[in-house]
Amino acid sequence: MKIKLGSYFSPWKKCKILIIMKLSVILMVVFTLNISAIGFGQFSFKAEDKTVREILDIIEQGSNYRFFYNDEFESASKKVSLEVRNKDINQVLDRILATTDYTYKVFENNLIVISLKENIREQSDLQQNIVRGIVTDEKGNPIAGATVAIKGTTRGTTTDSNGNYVLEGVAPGSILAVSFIGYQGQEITVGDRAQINISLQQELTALDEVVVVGYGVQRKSDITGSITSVDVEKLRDVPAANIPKALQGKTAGVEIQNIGRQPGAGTQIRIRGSRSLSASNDPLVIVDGIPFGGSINDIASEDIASIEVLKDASATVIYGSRGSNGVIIISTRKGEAGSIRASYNGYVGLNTVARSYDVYNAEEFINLRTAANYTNYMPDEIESMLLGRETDWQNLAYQTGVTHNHELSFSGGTEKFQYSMSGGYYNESGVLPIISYSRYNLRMALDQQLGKRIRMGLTSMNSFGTTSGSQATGMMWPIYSLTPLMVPYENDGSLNKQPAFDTDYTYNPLTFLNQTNWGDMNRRNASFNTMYLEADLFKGLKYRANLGFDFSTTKYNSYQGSDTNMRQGSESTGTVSNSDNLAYTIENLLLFDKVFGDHKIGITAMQSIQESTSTGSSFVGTTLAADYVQWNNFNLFEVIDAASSGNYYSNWRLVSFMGRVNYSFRDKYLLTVTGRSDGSSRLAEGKKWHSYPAVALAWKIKQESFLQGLEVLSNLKLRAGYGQTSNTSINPYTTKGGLSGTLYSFGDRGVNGYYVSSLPNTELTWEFTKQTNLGIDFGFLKERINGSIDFYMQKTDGVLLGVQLPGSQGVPGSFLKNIGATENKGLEIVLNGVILNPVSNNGFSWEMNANVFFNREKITALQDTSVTKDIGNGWFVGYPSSAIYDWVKLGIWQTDEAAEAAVYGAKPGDIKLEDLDPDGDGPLLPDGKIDDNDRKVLGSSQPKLMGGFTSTWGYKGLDLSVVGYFRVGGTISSTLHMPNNYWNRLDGRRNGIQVDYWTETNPTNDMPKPDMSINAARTNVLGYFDGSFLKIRSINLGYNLNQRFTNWISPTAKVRAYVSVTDPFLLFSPYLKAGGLDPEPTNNASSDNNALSMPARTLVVGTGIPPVRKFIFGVNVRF
Amino acid sequence: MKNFKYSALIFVIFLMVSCEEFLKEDPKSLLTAQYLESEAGVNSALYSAYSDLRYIYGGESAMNATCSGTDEWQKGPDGNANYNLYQSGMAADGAISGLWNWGYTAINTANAVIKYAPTCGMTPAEADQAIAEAKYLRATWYFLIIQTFGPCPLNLEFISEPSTEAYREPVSEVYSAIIDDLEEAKLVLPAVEAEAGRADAAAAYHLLAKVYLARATTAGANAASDYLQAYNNAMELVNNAATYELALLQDFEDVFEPRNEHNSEVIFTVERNTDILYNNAGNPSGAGSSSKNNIAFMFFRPNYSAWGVGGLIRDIPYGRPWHRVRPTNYLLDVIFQDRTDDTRYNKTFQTMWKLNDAAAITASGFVLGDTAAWLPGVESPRAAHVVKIFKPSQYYGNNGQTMSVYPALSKYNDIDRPDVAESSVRPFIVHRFAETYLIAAEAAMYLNRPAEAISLVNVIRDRASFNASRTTAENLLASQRLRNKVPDMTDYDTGISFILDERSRELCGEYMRWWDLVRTRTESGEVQLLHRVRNLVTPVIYSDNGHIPAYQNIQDYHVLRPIPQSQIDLTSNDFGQNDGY
Repeated sequence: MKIKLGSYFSPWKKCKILIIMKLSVILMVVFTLNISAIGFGQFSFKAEDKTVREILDIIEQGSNYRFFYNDEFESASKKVSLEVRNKDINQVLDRILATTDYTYKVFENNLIVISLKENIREQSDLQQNIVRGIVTDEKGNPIAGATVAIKGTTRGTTTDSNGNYVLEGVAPGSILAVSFIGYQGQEITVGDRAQINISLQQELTALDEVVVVGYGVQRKSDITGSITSVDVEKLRDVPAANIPKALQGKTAGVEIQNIGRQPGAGTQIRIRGSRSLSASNDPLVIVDGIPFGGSINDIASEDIASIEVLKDASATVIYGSRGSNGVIIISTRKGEAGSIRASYNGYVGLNTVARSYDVYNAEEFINLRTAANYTNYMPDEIESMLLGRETDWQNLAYQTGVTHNHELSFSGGTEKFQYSMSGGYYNESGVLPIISYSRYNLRMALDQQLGKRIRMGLTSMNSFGTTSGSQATGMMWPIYSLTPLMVPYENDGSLNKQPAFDTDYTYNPLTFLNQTNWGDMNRRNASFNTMYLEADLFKGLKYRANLGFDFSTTKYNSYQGSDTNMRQGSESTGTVSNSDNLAYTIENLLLFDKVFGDHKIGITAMQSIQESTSTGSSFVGTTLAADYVQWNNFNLFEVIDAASSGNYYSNWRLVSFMGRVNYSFRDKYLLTVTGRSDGSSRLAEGKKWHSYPAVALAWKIKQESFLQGLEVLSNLKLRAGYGQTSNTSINPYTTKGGLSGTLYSFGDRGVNGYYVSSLPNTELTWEFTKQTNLGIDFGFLKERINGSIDFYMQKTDGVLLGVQLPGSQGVPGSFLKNIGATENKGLEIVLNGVILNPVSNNGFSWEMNANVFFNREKITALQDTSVTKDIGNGWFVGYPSSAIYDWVKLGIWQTDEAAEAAVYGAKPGDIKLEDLDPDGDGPLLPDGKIDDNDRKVLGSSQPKLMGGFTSTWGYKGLDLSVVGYFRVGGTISSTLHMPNNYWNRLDGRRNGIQVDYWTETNPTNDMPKPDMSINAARTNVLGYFDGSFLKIRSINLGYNLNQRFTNWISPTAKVRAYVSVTDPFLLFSPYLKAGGLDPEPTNNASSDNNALSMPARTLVVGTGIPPVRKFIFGVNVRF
Repeated sequence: MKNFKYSALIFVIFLMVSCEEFLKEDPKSLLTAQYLESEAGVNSALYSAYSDLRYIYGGESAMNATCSGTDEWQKGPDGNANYNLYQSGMAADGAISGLWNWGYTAINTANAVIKYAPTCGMTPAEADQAIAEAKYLRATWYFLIIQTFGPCPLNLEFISEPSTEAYREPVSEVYSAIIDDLEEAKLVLPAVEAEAGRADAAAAYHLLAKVYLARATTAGANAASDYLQAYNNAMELVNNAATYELALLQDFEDVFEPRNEHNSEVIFTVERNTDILYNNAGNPSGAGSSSKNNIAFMFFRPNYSAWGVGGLIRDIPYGRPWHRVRPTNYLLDVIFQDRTDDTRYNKTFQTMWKLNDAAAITASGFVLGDTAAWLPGVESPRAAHVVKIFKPSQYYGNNGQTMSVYPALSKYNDIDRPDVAESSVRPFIVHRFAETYLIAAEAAMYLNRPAEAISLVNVIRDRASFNASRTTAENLLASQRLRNKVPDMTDYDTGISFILDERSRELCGEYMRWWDLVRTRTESGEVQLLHRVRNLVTPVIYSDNGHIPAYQNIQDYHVLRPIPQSQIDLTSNDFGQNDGY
């Protein structure tokens, strides 16, 4: 047999070989590879003056050996004589080739290659062959993107879209490691097989999943702190405008409240309650390792690979002063080696008014006016009364909005280079016309291996979001307040511009539809970029540099023409506000991991600097030449003025050093010790630095021998941690004090004045939180049921309190001081279970994820120990910072109580307030008058219990999921019901929400007698309600299209179509029964004009747009 | 070799910066208190102390403090029930807290001027002038506070260190401080202000006279010489009117003529103008104590567009009807009983409205400009071409009605507002020469100089009788008849009663009545506020529709207003509320 072997050894010429080799040879080779070798025998023969070739032929005939050599085998013609006796093939060939330049190689399949000595160098190469196959799931569906690696090497591949893989040069003894996220990995010995099909089992245990922790990753089972991993895939099942909304009810210990209902509205996130009374309580968001300064709403959910929430100090201390409010770590998607993979997610939804305000209709309104003794009707109203005509202003104004979401992503790469890129578009229009929110996202992630030791990568996320027409929320006031007896249109069909002109200036809400004379736009462009370089220095020691660059700009424009409801005839105004933020982070990390026998140690050391600079400029124009110009040329305004706020420069810097040691002994006992030292520019000179430690222990009890036999228990781990964190989230320059501007004029000469509005504070320093966490993780039946329970206790000292000075100090601004202390403790329970397993239930599956938690927050000290309450700021020792301090409403004074009411200067129909014992400690009796001493803490917005659940049912291709969350307890402050707000003024002058008010014939205890001159003082008591509710966040029904229907795209394409309805039900809400629409807050008191004398941070339910329900149809396509 | 390369890379990436330098703050966009130490800073502080007066004069806070619940004004449909009716909710009602809070802010700002002027780089003359103006303003604020709230903290030093402690000083000390400031200011300030709105010596003399007059009846603070001091300071202006460029206008009507706020009778104004950059005008978004808008023209105005007269709508000259207060029967029927010889009733109140919306006129035979509504003030008026006539017995404005019918105070009418919804661009007249005469008259009476008191009052009454449409002889006759009604000023009870009535005729609605009433006493020592509200404004012709009227609620302790609750709540020591609240 003669074949050209010389070129075979050159890997670059494989193709040529295949062409040259005869077909029969190929078949033979393949054939031989597929049968096992018989083994080798002993040779005994005598050859006299035979050519080498002749001798080899003889051997071939007498044995299973086959020889390969090429035409240039010059020695083949050489004559030799030899005799062998009971020699094996090696000994025979050694002798035959002894005098030549050739040598040989025996392979397992009895193939013997003879070649020049120099050619047979890398003996392994020929030994290896091509292995191919298909990776499928347990149902036989191909898995695209599964990793097939040759164990012990760095080589591997991923399956293509059909689940196929091809690996070349696989040694028969190799072991293939096949893995795919969410499936149990498998290892298969290749042996002599060229076709290996692998079926992966879906993974039930999540214990070996890798979890992203601060500055690194850890096996879930090795975690010592309190960290919640969010199942991102499940998160995506629920269509949500942004990540926090999708997270609602999914994570124990994380309270996410909606703030506002208009498109693009945000949320407030609190991890384990609030610690700080004045500084920020917002958690730190880390994206791809870098603190994220932007809005979490800028990130498209499709771009997220994982979300982890770090809750206790041992987990968050690594982020030092920025982590005291908990940390949300978001990792974005990275590319994977393999052929291109694409996915498209899209949905279209209709946004409808879930519940509209129950305002008085014409008849009820007339009754109210009669009760309020408001007998003055306008001519049009009288006409309406005669004609039985009425206007439902809500019906006129609300519309059905539309939500679009489209996300397209591509990823792929080679072993050394991976990419991932995506683009998204989101658009939502509201239930009020004109308001809309849209966002474009572009993202790219690149990873490159440089040589064997260095990796580097870049991620760039860019978003462009626009909210327009927000001022249309101003329609709500006319919508509810205009009398139902007035007509929206004049007889000639034109709009009745000011339907209640003699009563007030309010414009017809439909005037908002004409957008030539008003408008607004808020455009936010954000670019968040991270870069890393990672180098393996020595065995186990890695260096990593992280660079983060975060830039965003916000541009706000608004215009209000003279002839609009906003200006009501006053001169037109326009505003322009531009702000930008530039932040960078530079981190240097050294990471060391090593196993010494039973000891596993991991060390992380980090140094970082961060700097953030914000600037803003804002101008107001008055009296514009022509409405259509709006904000497009400020030169056309008569007067331009710099806005009193919105012009600023603000810069802060942070320098940090951090070290962490993870140690585990026999994989049973785990210890994490962390230390961090931070220097912050925001604090006073000499008070800038602080260091804090944290330590955490975990014991994997399940690993102990005494539990090994207990099959039912698959995991049991105890965790305990203690640590300290701190907070400097106060505004820069707070230590400096400052002046505020004021205006005056002498005759025609305008002058600018300045006065001291806040005093300097040279003592301002850190606010510390000490936190203890105790947790237990458990799993049963191979993790089919698993969960965790965490108990924590936090104590915060040196709480930064914005102390409002008494008016007589003459300095109106508040003054930050490190006084006071707060405490938070709570319990979090998470339970996940596969209730019905598809294998044993004919394909029917049911999975439940549930969490329930509570947090108890209280202020433990204010200023010095003698101060137990700070009424002005709304802080009371022993109560949460959201305490509600007010008079106690007992009901309404009834007719038969007239005499008693008179004692208090009240009459039947007035609110009956409780006359408290003046000093609250017993012996003194109520003093017969209602004054400030009759106020007390009535409650707080803190719920007794919160939680959420996700239930997923599946049957074959169908899946149905329900996501819900609930709150038990907590008091709502409903400014909607507070007469100061005018929605419940009960004066008959304007319409309002329908309530059960007192009259002589309706002796209710709910709301007072309507009165034209209702006194707004002490009527906040009408607005407190039990905040309990159960909200079904969404119901989603999906169908994974059968492969038969998707084959035309690609054999492995996955298509899921689904329908969803968001916020379908609101149950068990006492507030709903009381006439409210939604117990979730719309605002905080400081931005609610009507929150009469309530502390600025109180979350209130105000008079926003009605809640929105969305009906969504969507598809996910992956191939 | 490779390792060396990596190490070099690490070295480059490690940015070694000086931590201390890196962590230093540089507040580029903020003004800190240091600014006040410069010349520009001292001036800006002075302007700020002036500007805070805008919270008071023209605002609702001070209107409630001075007009509500007096013998002049009672609660209108949208008025503050607590302050008009002396209800128990007063202490919790922050309606007048602006007087306190902004007062102390202005005082601290004035203190900064006084502290830094000598060293800021001004010439000594400039510094003295700045200090004198600051002292005038400081005295103004303390006088507002002490009359309203009684004993109060006395800060005469610039506060640069925060403290939550505050202590109330006796009224005697506060009065001494006020008098010290004004005594000094009157000697330094120029006789005539350099520009409109600046405090001048005349303002200091006038205010000082008023302060002495108030102290004279303040137990524990008064000095025997108070009336004499009040008299002397007032007479300084009366006797040297030319020096101070002061003169009464011939016609009372011209005093409050729009665009004539800097006339020769005016001593001190709180400035506003038509420059929207500096006038704190615009559409008042709220009428709370944090508004600098001049909306005085709205408070005293009935809801005329709701009178059911087709063709009478809200417009700029007629103004925005917030009907916070309405005149008492005592003001209309007793004080302004004489409406012929004394021209001031017709020059103080608007009683006639004309048709101003041609398209909406419903009455037949009427055209634009015809009289839409007339409040003749008598029960049987002469017939006239009027759509609707309201007799006094038809006046209303009770709780429970948005409609209100009564004569409208016209002193603050503003025709220069850009729009019907907007607040006023007119300066607010705080002190005027006519009052100086009345101060001098009151002091003269208590100094037992009745003749002088009468002659001072008669200067005002002579002017009050002037009617441009009458002949000189007719005017003379009228003035003589007015003179004849002046009591002989030997009986203090009759005398002070007359002077208080005369002050109402002259100064009605000018943001001072409540202070006049707590300053003055009957001969038996009863505070006039209590006396008048209890005895004169009753019986109430216009019922308060279910509310308990002021005369039944008012208690002796109501001669002081309650300390704002926020002051008490935020003070770490026991600050103490005024008795009774």
